[in-house]
Amino acid sequence: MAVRTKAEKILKKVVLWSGFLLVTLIILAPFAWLFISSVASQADLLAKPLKFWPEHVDFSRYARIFSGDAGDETAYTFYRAMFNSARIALTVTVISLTAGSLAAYAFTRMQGNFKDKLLYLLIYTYMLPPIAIIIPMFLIMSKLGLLDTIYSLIIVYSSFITPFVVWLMRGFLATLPVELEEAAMVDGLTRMQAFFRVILPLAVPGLVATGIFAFLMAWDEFMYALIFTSSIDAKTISVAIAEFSGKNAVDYGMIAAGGVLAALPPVILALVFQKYIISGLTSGSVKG
Amino acid sequence: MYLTLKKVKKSFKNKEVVKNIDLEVARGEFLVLVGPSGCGKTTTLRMIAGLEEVSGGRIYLDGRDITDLPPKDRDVAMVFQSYALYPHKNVFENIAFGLRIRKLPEAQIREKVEKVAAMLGLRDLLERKPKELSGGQRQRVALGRAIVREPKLFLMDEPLSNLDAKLRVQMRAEIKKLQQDLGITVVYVTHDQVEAMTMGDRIAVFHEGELRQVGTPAEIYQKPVDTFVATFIGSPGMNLLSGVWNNDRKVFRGEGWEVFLNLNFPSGEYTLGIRPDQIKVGADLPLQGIIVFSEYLGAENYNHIMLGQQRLTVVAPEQGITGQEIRIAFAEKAVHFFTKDSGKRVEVAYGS
Repeated sequence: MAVRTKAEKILKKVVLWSGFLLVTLIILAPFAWLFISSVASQADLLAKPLKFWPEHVDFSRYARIFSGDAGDETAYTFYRAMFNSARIALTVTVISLTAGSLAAYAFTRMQGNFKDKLLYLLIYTYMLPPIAIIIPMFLIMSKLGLLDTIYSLIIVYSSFITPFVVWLMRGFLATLPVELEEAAMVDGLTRMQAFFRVILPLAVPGLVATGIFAFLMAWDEFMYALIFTSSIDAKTISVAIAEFSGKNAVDYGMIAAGGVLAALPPVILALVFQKYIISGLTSGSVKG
Repeated sequence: MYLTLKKVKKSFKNKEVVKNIDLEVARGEFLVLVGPSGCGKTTTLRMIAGLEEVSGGRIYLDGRDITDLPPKDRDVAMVFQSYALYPHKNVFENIAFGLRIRKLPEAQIREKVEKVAAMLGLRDLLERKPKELSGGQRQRVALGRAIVREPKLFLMDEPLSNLDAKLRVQMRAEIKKLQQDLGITVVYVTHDQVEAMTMGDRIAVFHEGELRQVGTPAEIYQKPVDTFVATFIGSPGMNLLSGVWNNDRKVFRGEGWEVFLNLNFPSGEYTLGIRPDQIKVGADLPLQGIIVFSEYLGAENYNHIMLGQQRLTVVAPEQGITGQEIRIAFAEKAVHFFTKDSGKRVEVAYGS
């Protein structure tokens, strides 16, 4: 007979909460340290013993990056890399969401013997390790004259993010009842119009959540970016950060500032669109 | 005819689910397609809607061949079992959607939607979203969405089966009344024979992809073409008792019982059918059965009895007591005969 005493209940809560706090701490500590480093002075960062809380808080590194002054090489590289990353990630998100959600719709609604095989084929391309195909890809991009341009990365990213979008959107669209388009088609729309006027508005939560994932994948990607780009015109922020730890090993503060800026867009996206990530819009369309 | 199906077929992956259906519906008629699940009735309806392509045959509506037209060009409206209301639109916009697609002027849309909403008692709900409505209200919105467009043909796919029993009876009457008041043509699919009987001007009974019988509820009830129709239509279903008819002695011999009938048809093995409510019950009647159990329904009772070694159901005003004897008789006018192997109806002549 397990009679729960009050002490046991309290103990359970204490254990639960300390576990929760520990995990939170482990996850957030690197970010906290990153931020602290970015606003601490160089002297504080190099001081021994280590000072966890800097004596002087100093946002000048962010100001340097955002000034866009071409003379300040370190800061300017970050500045340009950020814009490259943003342009690439946004373009890839738009391309892969458009192509991917249309394909996903086809996969949920069309009938055919090869449908499943085709879907798995698509997923396998996504699972292929980049290292296996990076050399042929490099040669292709070189032939096309796209090396060291953001287009090479847009093409490559779209090629592996689109299957990912298909997979996620397929799961989402499958939850929307087929009768909705059928009703719309009987009401007077073509299938395409039914997709845009009925299915797409309902798919917004799925599109937003998938879009965020797609954006993050493109924003974070490192390997292709490192191999395909070299100049400041195409370099992405992940590559810029990596190079600083080699070339300018001393300037920890600047690297940290770049790190914070690289982490910011995904965090903002997730915060702004969090209500879309929780879907529930379709309740009531079918019996409930 | 207003709607004509000619040799319409449907196969899915070499499996024929609808076999050579010939069907005609008159303008203003309420036709019910009824049958057990998987009998092809919904597929037939979806082929009329254009949501499913035919594998063979033609469909004509109001003198026009619509077989190859997309759903939007057929001028039909459909009410779905799941209602399929647009969850992101309110009631007004749900009803107005078909009119907006046709780019009607705003004032006209408003007028039409409000008229339909008043007719269906939805006037106070126009601003609500589907998820804020009850099942019955959603059903009305789905009906409104169909009515407002004034289509040539209404298709309804089990529209009442998601409602609770009481509401279903009420909506059944409402839909029927609406159909009569507006004079619209309806093809209505259901698996519920009570709905079919009460709503249909005519009923088309489907079984295993075939159209077994088409007729008025009375024709189907009184002269079922085979044992399937006989047991499917009517509640409780018709009793079927196999046995041998001797035309010389005018006797039908079942298992452990026999009945004399003043009928004339060739001797042989048959299945005798009789509806539970047409069996006579009385103290001095010739057949003797034993009550196995009895179901009390208020106004009447279903007495399940053993007649010889065969089981049958008798509807009677008195509730039977298990183990008790009950005396019954079959009247010539009440019995049906079906062939033993194929179950097809056998026409019998009265008198010798």
